[in-house]
Amino acid sequence: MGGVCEGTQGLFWPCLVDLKMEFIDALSGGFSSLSTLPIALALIVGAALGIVVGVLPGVGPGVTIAVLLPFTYGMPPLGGISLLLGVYCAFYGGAVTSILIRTPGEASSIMTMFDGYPLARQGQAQRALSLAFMSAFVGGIASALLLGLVARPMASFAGKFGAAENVMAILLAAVCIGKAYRRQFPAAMMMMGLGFFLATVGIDPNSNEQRYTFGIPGMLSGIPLVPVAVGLFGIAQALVMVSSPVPQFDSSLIQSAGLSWRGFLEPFRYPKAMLKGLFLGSAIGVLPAVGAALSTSLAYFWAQKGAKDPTPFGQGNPEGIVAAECANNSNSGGAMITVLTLGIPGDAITAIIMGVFVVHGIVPGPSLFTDRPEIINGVLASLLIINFVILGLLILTVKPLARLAYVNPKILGLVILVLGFVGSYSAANSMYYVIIAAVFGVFGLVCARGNIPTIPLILGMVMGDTLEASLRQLLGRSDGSLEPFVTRPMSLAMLIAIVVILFWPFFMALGKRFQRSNTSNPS
Amino acid sequence: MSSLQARLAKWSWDRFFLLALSFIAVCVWYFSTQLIQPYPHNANWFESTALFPKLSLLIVAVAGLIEIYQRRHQMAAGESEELDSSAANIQDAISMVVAFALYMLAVPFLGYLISTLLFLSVGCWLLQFDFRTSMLLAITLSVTMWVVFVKVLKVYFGHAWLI
Repeated sequence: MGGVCEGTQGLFWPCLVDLKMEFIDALSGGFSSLSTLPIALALIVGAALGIVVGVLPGVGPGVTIAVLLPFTYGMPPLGGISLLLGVYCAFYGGAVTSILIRTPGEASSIMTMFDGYPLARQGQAQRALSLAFMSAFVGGIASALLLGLVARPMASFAGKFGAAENVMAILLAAVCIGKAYRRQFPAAMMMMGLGFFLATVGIDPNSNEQRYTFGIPGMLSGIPLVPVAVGLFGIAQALVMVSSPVPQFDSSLIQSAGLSWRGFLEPFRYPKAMLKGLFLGSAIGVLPAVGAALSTSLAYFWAQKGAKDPTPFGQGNPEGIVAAECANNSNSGGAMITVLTLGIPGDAITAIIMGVFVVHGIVPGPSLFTDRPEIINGVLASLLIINFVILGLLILTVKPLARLAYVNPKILGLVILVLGFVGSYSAANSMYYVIIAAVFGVFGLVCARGNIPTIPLILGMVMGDTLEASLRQLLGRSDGSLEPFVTRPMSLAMLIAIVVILFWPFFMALGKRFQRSNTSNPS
Repeated sequence: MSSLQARLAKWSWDRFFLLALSFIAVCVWYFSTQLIQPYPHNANWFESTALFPKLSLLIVAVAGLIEIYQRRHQMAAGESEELDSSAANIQDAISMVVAFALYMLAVPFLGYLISTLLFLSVGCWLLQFDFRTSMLLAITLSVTMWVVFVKVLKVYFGHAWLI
């Protein structure tokens, strides 16, 4: 794979021009990849579905993507990816319920609620919705552009990775994922380990040995990702929905749903808040497992410093909505960067999207940029187009969309159960898949009840194969020596990062103790 | 009652669940020689197909035990985007799981349409919807699903007694 800026002797401007030309080429290639009817349809259907599930109570993008995953099997790879990306990017439709009924569909919409709902109560619901949609649109476009500009250079850098770097990159991602759960770090690592283990079940492709199949014929081909994802995200969520009381909300503001053109232009009056959201959303999106919720809250609190609008935050300040929604929707591009360049998913949703790649025999990573450039370019073009489609659909449908909040979540739970059944069955026309989905659905419910995270399990399953293959390759070449981990600079750097992240609380505690002893003994 | 028994009596169920998971991981780790067929007895440790799964199981067991220790005090929910089931009624969830299991068993015998219709009817009854709503929902949804998946997308559910 050719390096970026080759032939520019490392000069800044020629290199930048080179990057720009590459980006434009990639974009035009991507648009032509998307120009077939099935792919264009998949993109529109995905966006429409994403908007609807963003508003429906209790149904998040994770559930929808997990249930939809089996149906992407029969589609062209880019069609399947576009469908799921549509759902992934369109969940900012959830701002509707955050603003109108003070019920955020997702954790990432909580910050929008803080200022959106007070604005709606002041009779400015249309302004709040317009602010949120336009800010999210800007965030989405910026993240797609970031993906286009950063992914290729990052892939050419990742192309230099050997087995040692691959192992360390995955371990670093695993530790980051665990740390994202703060006090639940051991539980997250436990589930990650379980995911790694489940990825090994079945016939080993190198030695043909049967690993942990318990003599069950279905398990010879391993534990498939699709029914596990359907179970953990679809069935578990459906079980929670059917067994939880129907949430009560004040529906008086639903009638006031709508948009205002002045509100659409308003986010551009707060460039500082917008940039803060864009920066944090994109940067945090790249980090594994640190989802949109953190970036929106950080952007919200950062926007409070030096805010232009004098309205207090929490009482209807438009900058709060702008920063939160920009950060919320600029995550998607960042999360896709690590999937495409390193084959490491940023969150549960990108892990499931990675499943589409795997199902179609496409291996995400640096080689994808040379082997299947139409996929990379298609993803980039998809992300750009999807944001326009979503905005268009939201403008056309916001009034009827808001009424979806009335739908009884128990009915939705039943529908998800039936869809989960047929989705997991149709993945291989096998009842074995349904049994796996049901088992993991119950497991997901038990884990949710016991406050044990399950997203790391899926991430572990997705990364497990690559981790094992790279580890075996490295150990085989070095006759079991672990030296390559410390002799290769990139690998060593990542190892140091892992140690620092793991032992950071101890360093902090030591620092505090040292400081305390210094203040008590000034001499 | 010994002090160990007294301590265990104070444990919340999630700690027992974590303990069970760790215990299973240790058992699977220990019996790996039987669970990998044929087991590579003569292979170097770094070439063994058991290396990675055993390392993974070790992570499960050790991390599980650390988590059990951490949960000696009541802990708050983590700030994550994980599923929140705090309001869920576990008895309702169990009844739905049973209904779903019966649905799985019924499809190969009764066919997709009839099984889905029955599952949705039972589901609506469990959720205490009124008769009219239940029937409307069950019939509309099951027929729609049958048309979309069986007739249009050609998902084959095998030969059954009914449709």
